[in-house]
Amino acid sequence: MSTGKYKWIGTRVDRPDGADKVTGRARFGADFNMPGQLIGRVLRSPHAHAIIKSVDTSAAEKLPGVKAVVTAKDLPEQPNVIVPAGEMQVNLRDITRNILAREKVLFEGHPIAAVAATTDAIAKQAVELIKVEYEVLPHVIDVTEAMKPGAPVLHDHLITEGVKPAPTKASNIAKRMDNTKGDFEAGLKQAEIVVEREYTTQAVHQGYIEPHATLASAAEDGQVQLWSTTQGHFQVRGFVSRLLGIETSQIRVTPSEIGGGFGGKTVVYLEPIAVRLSQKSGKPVKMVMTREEVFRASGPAPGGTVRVKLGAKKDGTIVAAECEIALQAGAFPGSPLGPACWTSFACYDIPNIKVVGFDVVSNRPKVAAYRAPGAPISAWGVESTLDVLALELGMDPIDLRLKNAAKKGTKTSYGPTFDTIGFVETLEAVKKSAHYKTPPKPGYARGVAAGFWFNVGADSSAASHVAEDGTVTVISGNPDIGGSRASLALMAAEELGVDYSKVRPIIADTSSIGFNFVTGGSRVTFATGLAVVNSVRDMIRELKVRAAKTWGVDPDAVIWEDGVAKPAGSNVGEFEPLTLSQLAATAGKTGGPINGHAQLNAQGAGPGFGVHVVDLKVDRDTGCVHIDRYTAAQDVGTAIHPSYVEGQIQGGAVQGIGWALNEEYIYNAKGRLDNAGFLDYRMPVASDLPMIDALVVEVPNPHHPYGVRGVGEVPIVPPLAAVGNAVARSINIRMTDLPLSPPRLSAAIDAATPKMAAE
Amino acid sequence: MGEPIEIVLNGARRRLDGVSPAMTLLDWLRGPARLTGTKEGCAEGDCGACTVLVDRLPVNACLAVVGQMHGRVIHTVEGLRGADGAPHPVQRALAESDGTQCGFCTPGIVMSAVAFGCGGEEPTPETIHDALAGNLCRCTGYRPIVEAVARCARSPEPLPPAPAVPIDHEARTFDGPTILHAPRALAELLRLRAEHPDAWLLAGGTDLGVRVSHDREVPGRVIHVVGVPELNGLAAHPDRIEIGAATTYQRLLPILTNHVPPFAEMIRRLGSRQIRSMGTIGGNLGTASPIGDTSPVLLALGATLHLASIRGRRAVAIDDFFLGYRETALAPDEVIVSIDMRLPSADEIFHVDKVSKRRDQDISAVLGAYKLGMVDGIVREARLAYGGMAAIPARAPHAEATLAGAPWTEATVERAVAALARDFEPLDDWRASAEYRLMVAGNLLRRLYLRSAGVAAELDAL
Ligand SMILES: Cc1cc2nc3c(=O)[nH]c(=O)nc-3n(C[C@H](O)[C@H](O)[C@H](O)COP(=O)(O)OP(=O)(O)OC[C@H]3O[C@@H](n4cnc5c(N)ncnc54)[C@H](O)[C@@H]3O)c2cc1C
Ligand code: FES
Ligand code: FES
Repeated sequence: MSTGKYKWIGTRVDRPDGADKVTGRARFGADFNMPGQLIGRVLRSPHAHAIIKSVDTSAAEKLPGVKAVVTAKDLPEQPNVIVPAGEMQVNLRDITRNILAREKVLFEGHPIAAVAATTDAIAKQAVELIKVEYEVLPHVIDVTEAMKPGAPVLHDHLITEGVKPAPTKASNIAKRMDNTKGDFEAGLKQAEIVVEREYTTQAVHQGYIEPHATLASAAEDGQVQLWSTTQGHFQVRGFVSRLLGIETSQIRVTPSEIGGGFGGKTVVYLEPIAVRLSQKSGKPVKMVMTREEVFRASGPAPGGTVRVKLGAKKDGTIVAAECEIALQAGAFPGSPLGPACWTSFACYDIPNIKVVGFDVVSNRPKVAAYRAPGAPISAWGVESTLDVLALELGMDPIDLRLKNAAKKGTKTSYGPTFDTIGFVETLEAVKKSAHYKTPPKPGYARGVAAGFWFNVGADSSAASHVAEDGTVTVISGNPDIGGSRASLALMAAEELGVDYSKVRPIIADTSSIGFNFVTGGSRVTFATGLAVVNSVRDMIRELKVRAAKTWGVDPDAVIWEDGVAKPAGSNVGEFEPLTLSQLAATAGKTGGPINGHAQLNAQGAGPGFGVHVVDLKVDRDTGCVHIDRYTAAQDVGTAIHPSYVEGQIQGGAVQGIGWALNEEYIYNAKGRLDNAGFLDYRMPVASDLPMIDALVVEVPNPHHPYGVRGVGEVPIVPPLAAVGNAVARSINIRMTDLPLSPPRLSAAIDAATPKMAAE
Repeated sequence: MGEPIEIVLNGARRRLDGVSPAMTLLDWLRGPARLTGTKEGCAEGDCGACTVLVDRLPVNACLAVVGQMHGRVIHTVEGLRGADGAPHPVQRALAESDGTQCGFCTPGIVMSAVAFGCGGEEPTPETIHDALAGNLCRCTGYRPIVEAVARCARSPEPLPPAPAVPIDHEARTFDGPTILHAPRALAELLRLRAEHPDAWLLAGGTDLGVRVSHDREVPGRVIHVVGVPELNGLAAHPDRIEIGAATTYQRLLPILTNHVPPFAEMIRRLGSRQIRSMGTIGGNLGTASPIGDTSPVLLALGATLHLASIRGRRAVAIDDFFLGYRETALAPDEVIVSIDMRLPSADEIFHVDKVSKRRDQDISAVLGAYKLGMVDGIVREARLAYGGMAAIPARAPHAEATLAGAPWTEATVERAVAALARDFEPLDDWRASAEYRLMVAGNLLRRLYLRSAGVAAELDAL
């Protein structure tokens, strides 16, 4: 229990989904089946960039067992309109082309057509029978290359946004973003020390173990049912509706258990295709991506370049900061450029800031959100450069950060002024930690870095129902990706004053609860939590009305305390308290079922800060890195369920470690991905890691009844630089290009070693 | 023809009627058997979401075909129960330690943890990491999983018992769209091989299974070799070990641990436990991959391969076995029967290095195996063999010649390192560049020297 203030909040109760998950009963995307279902498969482009001259599906259609074939012709054209998609934005015209290519294929793996057949083998054979005539075009993979004049242009209509006057020629730069505070140039003049470095990162995949999967059933009367593994079934409904021209209320989407998403399952790939195949064939259609398809064609997070310049006083006070970022958007505009820019210096109170960002298209799969989208990339640049500064000043890296830390009242470069935040508390907690107070083991070096994420509010709906026996169902509409069901039930139990075991949290389908924005932005425990709390309060209001009716008093004369209705004072009269079960048992006589509802657009999400410390050593002979100790500290507001908070922190940190050390998309000269599988896309296994220590700091968010901030995204922000800084201190070489894989580290060490003569 | 495949599934005998023997076990479980608790995350042996127990060992169900499973005892996550019918202690421990977040990896982790418990090993960070090396979890960062396994490893509850009547192990042929022969005698195997030179010769299937599962190839005919006793011998003599070609890494490990610890250390990092339960040394040689891990070791030790066909038997020195990229001295009608491996003697320096991005479950960038015969500080004979350095696993003739007859000193080693560049044009691909491979090979030779001089003990911690 974290504070002792609460009965349920802060306790480590069993998760409601735990038993199903350990026994194999939990049903994930590919575990849904319907009688008579067909299997759908997608034909994908072997080329990085080509004009589609023709698509001939006739041979595939004639193959016995094939029941439907779709191409882009089966999806209506869409307007050039931007709509929100999770934490990012998408253009409808682009998204329909991402789902099925039209004029051109823009990346290897770009879907061109799909078939539904009675068996997977027939579907595979049918896909191979589709003839596509391509005119192969020159391609461009790298961001820097894609920005150069003369680079192959992906979209003839793409004019850079945010530049005045607007360019007259199309390019791969979709957008320029500027964000400033104070006067950077003037600030730099006051600096006594200036450091500047340039960095690169490679595209990395979210790496959820469950591939995308969906099952669609379209009936003759126009109703559509979908089962899908997604972070936002309302979003799936919205996109299917828009992209196929089906009325929203005709579509019912049921989310499965989701086998990891991390932002990557906020996008639709298969669902519109499966629905169209089902409409054409009159049969349910199931589609599951292979791991290779997941890598080649579902959104990775972008790679990019970051240049950072810091000007500081000798005492470490930073007076001017500049960051220039270029991110790969993939084949269509829309990288997480905004968050990358806005988070870059959010940890620090710096008077003069200049941030410039570029959103760049290239012949890669369109990127999708990945835990704190964009933030790890700018933090890699900023936090590494801070380490350079700390080393040059001879300052402790925590002290340097404390000297400049953002606090309540700090104005950010992107506009808002911080309310109560816990960055200083987090830094202090690290400074006092056993880990930080103990020097690294001999041969090991220590790195430190910080990170920030806004956290998000947005739309949520919730309902609470009292059953006849006085137990409670809490219904919301966000797929549970990080233990949110348990957190929602804990808050409901706390609010209601009943035992946690009496509260059953349920995730309803799109037709059974009001709209909920996607599970993303670390918003569910905050925003949907708020909706749940409000729905329980609405139910309590009704419970008081029923008690008042039973006693024949005014509802205002009833209070709800510790799970029972009581008279507000002795002047109301002498009544025995009424429990939830008693009120439920007599509900039929006092006005019928007792429910509560709430809907809201949550404001006041509390920003989160993290500080990570890592001890590691580099094997100079092989370039392999060994991590000995890792502590991840974070201000979480209030830890509703401490174990899940720790789980989020540990999991996020490990994804960041993977990003730092080995994960990367590797393209060959033909623009094809060489490592589209877990064999060569190297995510960490157990032996790559120490036991990650999560250090939970609680500075409650004043805008939530229980002080909740988001938790899930901050932990992936610091590790890239924390690892890089430790490596720099270990081998005395500032590495600027991720990942810090054995070949890259070896090459750097070799280049820095004076050559020994062999003879 | 048309004999049914029979297995014991979660304690009950099951006949797989009308199922092609080349269907993967995972497809069968998730499809006809309607046991969707076992998950598919990659279909190529990398993620472990499909882990089941076969004869109490963890196995990737995505790589095994059902024809291989005849007569075997299989447990899936659905078949686990504790004594009182409640969830198995491993399942409870994972739920209680929050070792499950999204839960997709969980069934596979449960099965790996149960296998670990059944094996009765001491739960240490090393053994637990080893037990989990074949299971990817992207949510938890592994800590709560490692803690759960540590907690419950000592109390493995009995698995559902096997039925009283065992399934017979007679030679069989199963057919579906694919015909699978499971001979039980060498003569029968050789006859089938001669008759069907195009059939897939299947041992553990950890290479061939990828073609079925990931590439969705449907072989016309398969000959499953592991039921042949001559291919399963395993005997340690004072100076050598004879290993049947169908010996799995799992069976091989204890004997190597006793007799050639550096080889055993490397095998512990070959694939994962799931791969080592099924994968065989004969399969590793049969695949003849330039990055196959056992080949350089056998080259360094100067092993002899015993081959057989209906035409007769012959012994081939390992030096003469690899002819070109994935090309060997095996004739179309021949099989590898056994490997005869001479053990390093006390006055020989012998070591094996495996370098990969991850410590566990990773393909080698470089595998180096070295055997140096020493007399009074002079290298009498040197065998240096490498994987990842050429199109085939190969020895380093120039470096060996530099060492032979020379004093074992830093200067000699530097000359040998320089000679490596003349020996190899290493593979250059996305796994590692040619420069990296060459540089590492050189560094490892230097480290071998330091290690032999007693300087580099702490380096081995990595
Ligand atoms: C996830 C994963 C990780 C892996 N990691 C490693 C690793 O770290 N290092 C490594 O070296 N390998 C690795 N492998 C490859 C594989 O596991 C090994 O090569 C293994 O030894 C193959 O043995 P098998 O019995 O499974 O072969 P199978 O797939 O059954 O057969 C492989 C080949 O050998 C032939 N063959 C089999 N037996 C004989 C015989 N008796 N005579 C003639 N030919 C025969 C087959 O016809 C086939 O061509 C990995 C594979 C996977 C899927
Ligand atoms: S499905 Fe990934 S290992 Fe089998
Ligand atoms: S719990 Fe999600 S992959 Fe392990």
